[in-house]
Amino acid sequence: MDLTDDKELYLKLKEGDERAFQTLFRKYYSAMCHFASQFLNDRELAEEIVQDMFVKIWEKRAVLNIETSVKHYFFRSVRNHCLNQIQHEKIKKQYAHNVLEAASHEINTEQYYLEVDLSRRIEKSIDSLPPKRKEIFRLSREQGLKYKEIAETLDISVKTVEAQMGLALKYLREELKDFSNHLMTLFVVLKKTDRSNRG
Amino acid sequence: MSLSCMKTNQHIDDKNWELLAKSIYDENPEVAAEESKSVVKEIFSSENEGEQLLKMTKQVDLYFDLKKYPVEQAWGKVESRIHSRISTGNTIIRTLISNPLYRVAAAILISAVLLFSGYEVFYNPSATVAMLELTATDQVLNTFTLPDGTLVTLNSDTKVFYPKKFGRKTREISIEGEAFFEVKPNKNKPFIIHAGKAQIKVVGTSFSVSAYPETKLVEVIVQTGKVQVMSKMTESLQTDELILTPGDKGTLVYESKTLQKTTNQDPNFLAWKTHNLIFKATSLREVIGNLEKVYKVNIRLADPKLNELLLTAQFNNYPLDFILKVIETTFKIEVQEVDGQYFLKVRS
Repeated sequence: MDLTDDKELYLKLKEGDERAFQTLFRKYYSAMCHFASQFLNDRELAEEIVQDMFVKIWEKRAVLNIETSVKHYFFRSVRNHCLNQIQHEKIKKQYAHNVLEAASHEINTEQYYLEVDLSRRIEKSIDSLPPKRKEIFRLSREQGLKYKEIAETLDISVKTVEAQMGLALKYLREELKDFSNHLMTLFVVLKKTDRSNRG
Repeated sequence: MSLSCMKTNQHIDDKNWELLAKSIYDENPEVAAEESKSVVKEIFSSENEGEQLLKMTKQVDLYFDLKKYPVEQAWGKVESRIHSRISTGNTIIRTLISNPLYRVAAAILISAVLLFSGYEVFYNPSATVAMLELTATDQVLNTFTLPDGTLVTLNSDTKVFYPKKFGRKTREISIEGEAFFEVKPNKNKPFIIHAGKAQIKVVGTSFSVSAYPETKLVEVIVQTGKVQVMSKMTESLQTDELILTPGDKGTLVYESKTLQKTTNQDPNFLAWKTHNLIFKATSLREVIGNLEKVYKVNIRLADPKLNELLLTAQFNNYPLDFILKVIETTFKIEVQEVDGQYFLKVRS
């Protein structure tokens, strides 16, 4: 499963395996950037910080010591980089406040990170929407447009937007429903194994 | 639980999905959260199912959020950084970044210095080799170390492509622009440079290659060692090649397809790298040509008569303003700067 995967990749990374490093990078880069930009309100800066962090991880790989999950280590590390950045730059108080508050809580990685399989599944589902519906859905979710704005952009009625968005949601629900069930089953199975191992 | 999900799902008609989508996607988020809860209550039998749906919509939105950070290009940057000596300069870059003014500069530096070119094929069309690219846009850059220890200094508008790892028998790279190489000696693995339509083969030496695509010629000037230059333009079976020793200059002219050896007459051929300029009774026109190349500026002579003035001087790494001041006083002329362009005029 995912957790052991990361652990293995981490051990290989420590030995200087660049492929393992690349796999971890590809897996977590976007999520880290999304996470960092919540604090910095600056996408470019977020990317710079995350790239710096990964370069540093590579350089320090020999002395790296991750005892908890790799994912959590990455998220904490990005948060710390953001904290340092903010101390230097005095970014708007509001964002500094966000980081400080996040620093006192556990990081909810689910809010930022999508499992690779789920991400692919979502991509596939969206891609398989009929073209018009896909465009409407994309304008809403990717561009953040309101229904009225979508109608104006595409020169269609708001009614059409409403209907198409409803159908898109229904379709995605159907497509992705199995996935959450599937994950849950796996989770249960894992728990059982875990117990039997302990016992 | 999953069974009950499936059952109720079939009863939800499209109108309800429309309402649900609208409450999630079109309203003010806080109102929407409340409203969607009530819609969910109406159409789903279990609250859990509604929660799952909301979670799914959040995951889809997260998918779009993450798309804003394309991983491919970023990996290229990080890969270049972990492969080159630049990474030892990280501390500098990082401290620069902490000052917002320098942040832009640092970003430009990183992107200007190292770009990943994806997959490039240049010397073996049958094999696809992952290539790295060193790029210089408008500044002369520091010296880089290639995987074999060879040092390369790039002039402006220059690209050097090199593999992450050199092959077993040769070390091959390609260049567009102008660069100075100090090749790490290795008799068993010749160093081969593909420069436009010329091929340059060396075994441990230092020399300068100039092959800007727009100039339609390739120049090789040797400082130490021995260099073989080969034309890839010959139509006859006989290969067209030259052996160059220190002080020699090899020139391949595309138009005439000629490869020629001459003695390098230009003491300033490496001034773009060293900023050391030597002028011995050099015409002002030529002096200005050198200054433009070394300092990346535009200098105009307002009066053609000025062209023929002769200058004898040596400048060891001086700023442009100082050199222009010397020219000004030597010839009793006037230097004006307008929008980054310099004009040399007779004093009125």
